[in-house]
Amino acid sequence: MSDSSPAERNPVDPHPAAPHPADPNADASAPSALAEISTPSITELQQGDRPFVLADALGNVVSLNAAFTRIYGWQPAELIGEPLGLILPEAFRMSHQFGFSRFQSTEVSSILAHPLRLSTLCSDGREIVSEHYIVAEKGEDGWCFGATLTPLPPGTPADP
Amino acid sequence: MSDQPAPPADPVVLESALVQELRRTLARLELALGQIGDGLVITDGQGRVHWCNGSFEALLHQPRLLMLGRPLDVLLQANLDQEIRFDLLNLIRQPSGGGTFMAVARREPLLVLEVQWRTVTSEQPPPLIFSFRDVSDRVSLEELRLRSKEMADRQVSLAQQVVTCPVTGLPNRRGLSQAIAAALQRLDHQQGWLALLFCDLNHFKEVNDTFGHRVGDQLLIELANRMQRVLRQGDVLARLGGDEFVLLCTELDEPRRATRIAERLRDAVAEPWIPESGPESIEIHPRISIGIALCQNSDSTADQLLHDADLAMYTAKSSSDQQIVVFDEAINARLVRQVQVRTCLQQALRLRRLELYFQPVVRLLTAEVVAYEALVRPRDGDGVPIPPPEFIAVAETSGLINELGRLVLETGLAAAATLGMAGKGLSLALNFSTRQFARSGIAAELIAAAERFAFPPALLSIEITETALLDQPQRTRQELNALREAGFRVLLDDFGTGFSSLTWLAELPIDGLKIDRSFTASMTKDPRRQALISAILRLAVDLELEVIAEGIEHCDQLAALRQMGCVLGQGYLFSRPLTLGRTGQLQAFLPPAPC
Repeated sequence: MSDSSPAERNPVDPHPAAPHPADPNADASAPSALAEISTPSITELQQGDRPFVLADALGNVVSLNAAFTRIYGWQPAELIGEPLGLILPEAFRMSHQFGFSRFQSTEVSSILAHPLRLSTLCSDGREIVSEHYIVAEKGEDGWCFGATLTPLPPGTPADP
Repeated sequence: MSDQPAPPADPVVLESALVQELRRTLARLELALGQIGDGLVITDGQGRVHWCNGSFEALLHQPRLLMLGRPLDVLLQANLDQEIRFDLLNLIRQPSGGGTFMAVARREPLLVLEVQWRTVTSEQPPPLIFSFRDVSDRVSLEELRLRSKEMADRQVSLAQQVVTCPVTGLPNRRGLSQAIAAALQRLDHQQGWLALLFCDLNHFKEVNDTFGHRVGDQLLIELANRMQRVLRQGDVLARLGGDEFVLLCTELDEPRRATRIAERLRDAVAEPWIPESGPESIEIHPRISIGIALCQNSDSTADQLLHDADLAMYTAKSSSDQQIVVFDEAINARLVRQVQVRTCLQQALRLRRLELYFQPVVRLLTAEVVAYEALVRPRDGDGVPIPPPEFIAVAETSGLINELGRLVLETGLAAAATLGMAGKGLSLALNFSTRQFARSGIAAELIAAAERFAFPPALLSIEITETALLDQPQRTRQELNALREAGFRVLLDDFGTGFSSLTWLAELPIDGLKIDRSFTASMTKDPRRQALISAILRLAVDLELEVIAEGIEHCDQLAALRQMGCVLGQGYLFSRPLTLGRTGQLQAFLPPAPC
């Protein structure tokens, strides 16, 4: 990612990552191909206070930060390598798969880079309404997707 | 070419390639589905939206994200001029697996939708696929009516062929009737008894209302499974609908065998049950009431047996201690009597004619009348007065109690006006049943009625029993407080026959109490009863409660009550209940107290 040209970057990502050396603290369980996208913004997000989850081009989770585990209960061993749809309520999974596939073909999305209020499934089955902010970046191995989640107070409706 | 076999492909790479290929396919598929003009929706087995295309978003003017997870029928009804009214749950349960119907989605301008649906039978519970096509320009309203009628006829025809319940898979009423008819025919050349066990789940509506129909359906399936586990070979368990199950047992060597089967059913059902879905830590304790009808020959019909078992079940349901009741003629006679009483009440309500009696409440020392208690005494077809416990129970179970209460209130207030009670400072006491206080607004009704008849609230006493305060404590207290704030007086009737905690007495929103006639009747023979009345009177003074002794019939009772300081009372010793004559006066004269 650090040597990618601006044209290769996702045009809808409002926070393009600046080039930076590889992060030695990056999640060791993430595939090596993703080391390239361990840019400061991703690192900051992973180490930040806000829950963050990263998925690869296949839609499988490649890393999550401690805040994500603390709030939604998922341990890295439970999610890494599993489809991202696991953290979505069942009713959202089919549309997620369609949308994910469509974006990879058309590179046009209506949900990236703006806040979305959605229910998020915790590891114990509870649902927490959260604000999702999803960004995508294109690397040599295809797209990867990062989502920052902000849990909203209990009682907040999923549809604003 | 080399003879060496090609190295095996890396499974991770293969899987990745496959996923990429599937993603491309999915992307093209969704683009294609987004191109077509028909609205498309995929729901889960409960009718909740999992996906829809752009045409459906445009039809409802709703973005997809806001529709995901929401019931399709709710979305349609909320967004299509309230015209589409189809029972989605019923649709899901139909065994046909698909169908087409027309629906008017909007009248002006006309929007007619042709809705096609089908189930994905390879999954359980089967998801549903719907398509919505705008056929407004092809269909006139007349054609629509015609097609709608054809479809309704076809549904009726299909329904008549169905003999099983779609929720439990058990035979339905039609299937059961066929099984009973066949069993009755076999009785002619078979020994033994045939029994129908009519089972009804108690408080099932509360389960549906509290936890939703999904949990309710799960409970029904669980009960069907539990019941089936106690069946003998040849028994037929059917679901009639709602929470009603019927078990057909044949070849019973004696009638008592049916009761034993019923006991096994009752015990099997009574195990606590935790729903698979729904709120956590919910434990439901199912309880059924069972009515049994028996026959030994084919003279009976399926309908008659079902009717008898149903009556026995209702008897069990209304009983506090019996869960199983065997039908007999006494049950039938009781029902006939209930119907007679209900008819009398309905007639009185229709004609707005009610026979009210007024029993004086007097000062025990002077026999001066201070109030009249209005008493309703409807008569049966033979002109015999129906006792209050009987007609009140019928009025409550048949839903007539509120109408009856309103008529008593208006008739009582009209009579009070005729007698000029307000001008003479005489109070009017009216009785109210527990059920009347089970709904909010009774206080407002009373206040409005008193205003209409210009009767001072301070002279109107409301008599209620303790059960009213036990059954609906919060609502009843609210209504009583509203009445007391408006100046009405509240008296606790039949004190001593119910809960009767003296501690509780201090907390009740009441102005007085009426000692039940059973205490008055026995106090001169039972010193403990007399001591109790004396204690109640002393406590009432401390709590500033008025006390009226009911059922005073003898001089020694009067003397004892006077000695204990009881100020007010009523009973045959002073006067029987009096009727209002045509002259507007009470017909019978108040006799002077003879002692």
